[in-house]
Amino acid sequence: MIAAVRSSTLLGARGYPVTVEVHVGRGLPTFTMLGLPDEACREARDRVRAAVLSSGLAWPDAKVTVNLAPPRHRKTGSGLDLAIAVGVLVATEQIGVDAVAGLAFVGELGLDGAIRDIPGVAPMVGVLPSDDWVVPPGGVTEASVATSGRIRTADSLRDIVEALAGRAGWPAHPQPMPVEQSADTVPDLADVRGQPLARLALEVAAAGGHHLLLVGSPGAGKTMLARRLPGLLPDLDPEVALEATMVHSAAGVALPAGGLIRRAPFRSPHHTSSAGSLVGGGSHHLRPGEASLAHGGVLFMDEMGQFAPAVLDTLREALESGQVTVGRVNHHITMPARFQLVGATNPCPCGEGGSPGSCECDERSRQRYLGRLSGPLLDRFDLRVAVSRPEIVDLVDGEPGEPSTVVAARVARVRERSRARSGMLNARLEGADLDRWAPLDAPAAAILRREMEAGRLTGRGYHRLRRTARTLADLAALDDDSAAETIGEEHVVVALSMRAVLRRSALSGAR
Amino acid sequence: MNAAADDESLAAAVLSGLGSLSRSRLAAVLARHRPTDALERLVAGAALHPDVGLSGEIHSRLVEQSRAADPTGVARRLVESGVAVSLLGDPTYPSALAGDHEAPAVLFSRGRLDALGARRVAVVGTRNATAAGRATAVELGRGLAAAGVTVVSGLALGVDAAAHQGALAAGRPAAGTVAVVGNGLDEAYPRRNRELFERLCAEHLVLSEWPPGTAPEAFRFPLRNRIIAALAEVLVVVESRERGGSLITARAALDRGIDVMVVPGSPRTRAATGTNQLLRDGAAPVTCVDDVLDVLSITGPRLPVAAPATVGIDDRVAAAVLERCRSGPATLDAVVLACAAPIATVAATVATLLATGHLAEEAGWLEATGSRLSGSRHP
Repeated sequence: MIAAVRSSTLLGARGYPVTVEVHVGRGLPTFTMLGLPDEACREARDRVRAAVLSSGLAWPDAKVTVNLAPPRHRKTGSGLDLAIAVGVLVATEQIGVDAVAGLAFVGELGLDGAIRDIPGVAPMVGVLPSDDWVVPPGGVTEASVATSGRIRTADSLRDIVEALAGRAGWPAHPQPMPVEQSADTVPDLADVRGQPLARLALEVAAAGGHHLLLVGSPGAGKTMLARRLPGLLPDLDPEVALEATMVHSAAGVALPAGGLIRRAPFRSPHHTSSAGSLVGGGSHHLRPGEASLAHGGVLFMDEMGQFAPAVLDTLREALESGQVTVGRVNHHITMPARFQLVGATNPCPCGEGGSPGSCECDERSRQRYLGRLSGPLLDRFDLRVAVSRPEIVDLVDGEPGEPSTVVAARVARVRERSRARSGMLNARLEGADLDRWAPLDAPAAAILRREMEAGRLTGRGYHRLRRTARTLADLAALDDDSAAETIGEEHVVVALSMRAVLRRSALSGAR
Repeated sequence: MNAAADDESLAAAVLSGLGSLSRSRLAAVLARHRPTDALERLVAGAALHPDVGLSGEIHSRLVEQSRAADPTGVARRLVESGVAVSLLGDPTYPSALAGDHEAPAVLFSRGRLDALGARRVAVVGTRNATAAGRATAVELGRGLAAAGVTVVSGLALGVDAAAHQGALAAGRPAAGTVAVVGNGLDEAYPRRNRELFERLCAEHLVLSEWPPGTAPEAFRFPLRNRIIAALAEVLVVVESRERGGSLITARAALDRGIDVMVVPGSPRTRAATGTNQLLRDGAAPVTCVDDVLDVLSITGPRLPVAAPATVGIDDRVAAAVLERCRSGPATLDAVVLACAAPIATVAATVATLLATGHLAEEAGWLEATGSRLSGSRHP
């Protein structure tokens, strides 16, 4: 007899619907799986048989053929176990055909018949939103985020069979409550003492969506600053929140209590990371990489110059298009990856940052050190801010800075303001848009002309500077309704200071 | 050039270039043999005087090296770069150096050896100098040269170059400035001081105990420092780190009973840790050029005192910016905090001060350019 049970499988950060067809018929008692299962998936054969027997159910003394349709996609992981077991039980008439109508199943089986959690429940469930789903107990919360259908769960195959047969009700599971995710898990900007320029840079980065490069000695607080950026960013748009949740689920990364990721994620890959771990990959199981996990949030790359150049280059696609594509022999997988990049680097090999009288590095070794960051990648950073070690007095006696909530409120207003003006964040202004939405007044233009004539500002640098100045002007205009839409001298001067590290130093040599 | 035509000089130059002949072994060899004699014996594989005390292994290496040496090439290099050779004991050998217990047995020079006839003060310091340190070295060099004193230094980046430049700026051809280097005199090292090197060769004096073609290797610089110390009547250290080469020079000077004077620095500046250590050990502080001239008992004409630099800015923020930058290199962050003013105001002020030359900026660090080391304490 034949059965067809609906399920889905994971590829990258997306689910693909799979129909599990099971045929039980005459022939030698064997178990054959068709439809491009991978290793973990093929092992289902033995897990399913053991789970069925352990649950006190009968295994057919016949030829069992399982086809995973459509067969052109590779099926990965153990999430199809439950659907295969249910299919066998339907085909052997231990469960009625009607009982599984409109129901879909994901979950891994233990040999004892237990239902085990798997990564990626959210994207797998989201792909068949009109069905009711049976998912493992740990996947209920995220499943409820991805579909409006009913979610069922149980601890064991036995419970599921009882419920499907109508002999018992579905085990109750706590209805997920939409929990307001508070920002207090993110460190607060008030902890940062001193460092006024770096604080402002963080605020500008948040308000304009600018990528930020922090250049400073060890102990200057680059990581501390970067960790505070998510706290300044607004909650994610519903659409981005769902995408981020899918990616996290697919990667098996713990989700917040409500199941939905609302706050900007913060990811900090180590500088020994491979290209695969950054953009996603893996030969068996295409797992989303750090770039995708940072979708909607912040990707922080400490010691950026220490990443392998090839690894850094893989980020360029993400920075350009907001997504990453991983190619395999028979398919390409696209995953979302629109993040704000925060890089950190020492200014020189000795770490003293070129401080006259202290730094041991000559110009050439500094140049070589920063030259490891490729020009095209470096071009992405509108803000390149020198971070210096705070003075001890400021650490001990300094007033706590403004808390994140106050800064975040300003950031939100500037984001609204720039969206209302140009329909985009200031960091995305290019070419004609920049001329239209970020006009310079005469003194500001004069300063920039002088910098360019003196060879301290390149053409690309000029555009970066105008974007930063636009955000600075927007921040200044919050308290001043009469502020002009043009960018004034003071904004340009501050924007220039936020690339002070480049002037006459190694980075200008690295273009 | 007569020096190259002279067989003894040429043989001495060839011997100087033998890799296994350290400067002390060279001195020992030349104390017992004429250069031509020593070279002939080595090439022939014959023994040197037993008092020279070379081990058999060193001797056989020297035999090998002397056979591989190229006297014609050495002669050509000497002539091409205009390098003179003086042997210890020759009349041309500078008397200022002849009496030293570690005097180089062979001295190579470019320029006028008579520059060493004047009073001599060595001004040395770190390559990683602050702008203030370099400015101080310039003023010292200028003030000393103006008083007729020859300024001796090592042509390194930072303080050394600044001291030479200051001496050149005094514009008194009678006084000179002498560089002692750790490589052959056919190449300028460091390359960045090439112009300075050429000018010193042409108008003043550059010394080395290594023949032309010798590369600047790390071990040669401490040796060079002893010559600087030996040439000086007073050694002034401007800035040095806790383990700087200048401290080696100071040690060599103390060994010779030569006065070591030190320009005090802020305890917060790393470039002053070595110099302040010397002060604590009893070196005399230098607060103006006169402090040095007094030790030399020079009371003659001195450089007129420069009028104290006027900032010409009465702006409160500008004053605060300059004040902060005078106490050591500062980042914009530190300046903003010190000024207690909005970032935009401070950034604009800094930009103005950079444009007017009151501030200098290097790799994001701001320094006040005006030094407060006046020419004299007697107005």
